[in-house]
Amino acid sequence: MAQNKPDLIKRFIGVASNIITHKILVKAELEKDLRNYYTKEIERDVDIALKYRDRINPANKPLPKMDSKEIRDSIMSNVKAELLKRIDKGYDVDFSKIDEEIDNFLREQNVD
Amino acid sequence: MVRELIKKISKGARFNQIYLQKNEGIGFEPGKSVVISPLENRISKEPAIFEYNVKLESLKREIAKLVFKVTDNYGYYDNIIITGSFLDEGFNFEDIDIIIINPVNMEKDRLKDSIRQNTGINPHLILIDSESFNKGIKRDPLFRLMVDRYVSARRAIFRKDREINYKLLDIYLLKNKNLIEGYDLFSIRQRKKLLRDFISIKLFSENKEVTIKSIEKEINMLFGKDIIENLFYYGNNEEKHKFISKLKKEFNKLEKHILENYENSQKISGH
Repeated sequence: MAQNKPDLIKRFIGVASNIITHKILVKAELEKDLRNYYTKEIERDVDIALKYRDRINPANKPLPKMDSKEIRDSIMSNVKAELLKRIDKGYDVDFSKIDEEIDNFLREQNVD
Repeated sequence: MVRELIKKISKGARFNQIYLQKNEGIGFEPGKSVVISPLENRISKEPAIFEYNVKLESLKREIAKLVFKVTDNYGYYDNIIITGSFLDEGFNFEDIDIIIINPVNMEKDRLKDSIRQNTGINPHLILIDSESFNKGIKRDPLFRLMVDRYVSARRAIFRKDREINYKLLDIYLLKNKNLIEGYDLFSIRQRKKLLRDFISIKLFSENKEVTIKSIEKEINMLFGKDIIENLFYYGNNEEKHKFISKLKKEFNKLEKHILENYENSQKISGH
């Protein structure tokens, strides 16, 4: 089924936000030896994000600044909302790593 | 032409001995040096296989035995557990989940390559010490599901006491959220796995038994057997939106339940 660009971007943002939130929580909350068992499946989701990314034009070069900024801002807002929800319940999460995680992810996905 | 002989060692007063008849075989003439070794070392032993809650087809039994045999060549271990979709009826599996408990000096990548070469199947190897494995069974619904049905190289009994760690369940649940966001791009097999994982977290957090049967029952009860059959067995996506909207609702409910319980557990423990 063909999907339009805004819908693809929305899906990409959704998947990316979950991956990044998950990564931050795994790093912050799990003992080192347990992390391997819980990070393995992140790779599968990264592939899904990549599949969405490949359907967003231009696929083979970074997106126009306007699109990449919109994506970055939305991911940032989603990740912060998820983490704040948890901090409110007593989690201890370091926000300083969010920027780095998002930037790395967007670079790997050829968004930025 | 006899080149190898099997003989029994006889007991002597000062020396034990092996008797040969004259001209018994080429190379066994008096004065020749020979190699002797216990016969048991030469006979390839058939690996034992224990099946728990599963009856493997004969070809799969042979594959499982081959996995045990190959692993034997790569070091010591306490047990090997084969679990996951390989145990499902038929040959519709992508890989074979192999858990090696208490491995000693095992090179994971080399073992993985060797299993792949010998069986033609991609192995998913988990090397784990028994303490972590038992901890996993205690607090992780997916570990629990692994020991609901398995085959093993040695007889194994797993304790099934439970410790609910809400933070762990939350992290685990979050990973399944992409079934909602990226539904269209997951394969049917991946969708089934994510849904099964989601339900196992739900049952575990509700203190219910996590088994293949209980998961299937819960899925059919929540989403309706017809919808599940249409989506996951016939690939008919007409009721996709109904399914996703129900899944989203159940997901949010479970997330709320887990986070609230985490908060309460923190209050009780005085944090």
